[in-house]
Amino acid sequence: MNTWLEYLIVFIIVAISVYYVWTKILFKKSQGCSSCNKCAK
Amino acid sequence: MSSSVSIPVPIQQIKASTAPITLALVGAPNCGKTATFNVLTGSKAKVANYSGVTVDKRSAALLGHSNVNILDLPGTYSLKTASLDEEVTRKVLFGQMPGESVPDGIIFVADATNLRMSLRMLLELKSLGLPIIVALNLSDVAHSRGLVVDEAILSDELGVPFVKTVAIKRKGCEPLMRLAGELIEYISGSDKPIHFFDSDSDTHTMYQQADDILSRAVTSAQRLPKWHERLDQLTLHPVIGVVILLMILFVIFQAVYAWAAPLMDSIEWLVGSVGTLLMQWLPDGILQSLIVDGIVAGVGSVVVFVPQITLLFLFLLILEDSGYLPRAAFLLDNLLSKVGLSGRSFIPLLSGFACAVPAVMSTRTIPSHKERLMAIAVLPMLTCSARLPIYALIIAAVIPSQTVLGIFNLQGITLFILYVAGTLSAALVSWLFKRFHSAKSESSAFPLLMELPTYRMPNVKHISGELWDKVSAFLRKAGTVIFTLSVVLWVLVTFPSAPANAVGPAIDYSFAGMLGHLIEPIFAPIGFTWQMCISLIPGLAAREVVVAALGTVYAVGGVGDEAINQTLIPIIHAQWGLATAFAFLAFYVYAPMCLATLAVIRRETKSLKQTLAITGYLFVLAYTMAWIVYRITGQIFGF
Repeated sequence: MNTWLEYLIVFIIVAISVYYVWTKILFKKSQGCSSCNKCAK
Repeated sequence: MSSSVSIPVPIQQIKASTAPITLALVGAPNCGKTATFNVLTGSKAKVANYSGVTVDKRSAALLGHSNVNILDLPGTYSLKTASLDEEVTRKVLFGQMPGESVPDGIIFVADATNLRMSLRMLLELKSLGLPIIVALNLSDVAHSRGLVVDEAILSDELGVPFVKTVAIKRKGCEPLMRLAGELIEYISGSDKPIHFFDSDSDTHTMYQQADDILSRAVTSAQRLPKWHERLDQLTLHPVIGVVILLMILFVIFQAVYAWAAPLMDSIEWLVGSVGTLLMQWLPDGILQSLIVDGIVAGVGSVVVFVPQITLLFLFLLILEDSGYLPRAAFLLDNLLSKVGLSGRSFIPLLSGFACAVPAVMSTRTIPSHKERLMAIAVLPMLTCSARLPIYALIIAAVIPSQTVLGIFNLQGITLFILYVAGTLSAALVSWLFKRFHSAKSESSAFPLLMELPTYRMPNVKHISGELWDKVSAFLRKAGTVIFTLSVVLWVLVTFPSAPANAVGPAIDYSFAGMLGHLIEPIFAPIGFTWQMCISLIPGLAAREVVVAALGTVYAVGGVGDEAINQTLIPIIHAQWGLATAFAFLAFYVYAPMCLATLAVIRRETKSLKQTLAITGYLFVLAYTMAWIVYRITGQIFGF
């Protein structure tokens, strides 16, 4: 596998992960618990 | 199945069919409202055989009617309320809930096994002047007890249509949906004659009215089967009952270890094999390191514990569905009152063994403010399912899997002790809190009044559905939160790479390595290594991520292929001393390390000061207990 392709794949996986951690874990928009009840699962 | 009374549709101008309509789902606690909500909306909200599961309103569209919103409200016996969750129901029905308009109609869920209380509530609801339809739920249980309920007479007497349902088994769904359709047509054609007033009748008069109607509508006296009464005599006995409860819990923890072992070994082997295969398939380089050391080592470390988590949830669901749990609440009411809590706290505390987030929310059923705050403060000490992978990992690594007294598994006993340690600590802290705040007087002002559900054979379909929901939620978490945090952690333990003249392992020069070494002095007195310190940070997001983080740190930091070919358990067995391992376990019995729990505590207490106080005392307690355990274990077994 080409080195640049390897780095590109790694970059994409890392970028998606950082985006997810940033938006869904660290700075998740607070929402009411009126409807989803997911936390009780 | 539905009664002869139908809702008259006025010959007035019909509302546009797309106009939004809200129907409130109201009923006593544990009468099957949420199961009915699931039937009406196709949702999968949590259902259980005890009261207090729904502590906030939730809503979803009625199946086939996108403009009709079904609002599931917390259970209440009366519109004169005492606790926060019941207050939600009252406010919504009286149009006092901010952002929520008055419902257009009510779907009342009546408990067919306790019609007297349900009819009294229905009489109270009629005073609201809203159109009502009634789902006569738990009809199967009533029938099995010899109760013959004539819903046509009930409909005639009360002037509202009744339909028999068994929501948990989805029986009576079609007539109920038809009736809901009639209600919608009626509402669309009416001009909402809402007239709120407090009912003139007092509770006593309404009970008399209910008794009068019941004497005509119910033709057979309700009798509990003999075995039911005998079983209650045992399970509610102040001494025998406690022994039975402890035995049940002990057997559960034994089974969690003994039965899960073969499947865990298989998954562990599978994870190791996948790692090895990927290593052979992918060329040496950064991509191989990310996938094998980061993702497979991280996610794989947590997935190994799925069998244990599944078994634990399965047992809790069986206890829940059988009707045993509220009896445990009654049993412990007296004991809990001695430490400043009451049986009302039992269900929230019990929910804490699954997850502290809904448990903190369910403290809304506790009317006393002081008792509620106390329950919230001690809840994080009860072992949530996210801590199970941490316990299971350390126990598997340092406690030999041997049999004690011929039948007991030593690892299972250790897990039981950890759960008991958390529970006893919660009781002790609560007792101390009571000593300083004398909360007794307020607690005793709200004695526990709770309806005991009947014992019933656990419903296989319901349990398997709930179990799948829980396990799939855990796997989703492994595929999202744990996956992404493992990738981020891999970046932190890999970059920057070691300089050419490096003498130590490459991980020492990485961001995580530097951070770990920076934090290490704080945790060194309790025996934590810098690798353990690193794992504490992503563990803030979710406790089970600690295991994934350890997996990644040791995989990247391992010498050559040694770490990759081994899973986490043998690595910890070889590298951690007994004192360190026990201190880590003690730390996590008390550690408040979960951002979601802290956020929900902040929201429920509405106080940053109280949230910080709870976080602070838990951290100090965790550190102190870990230090004591480290010192004592170190003195006995060596550091």
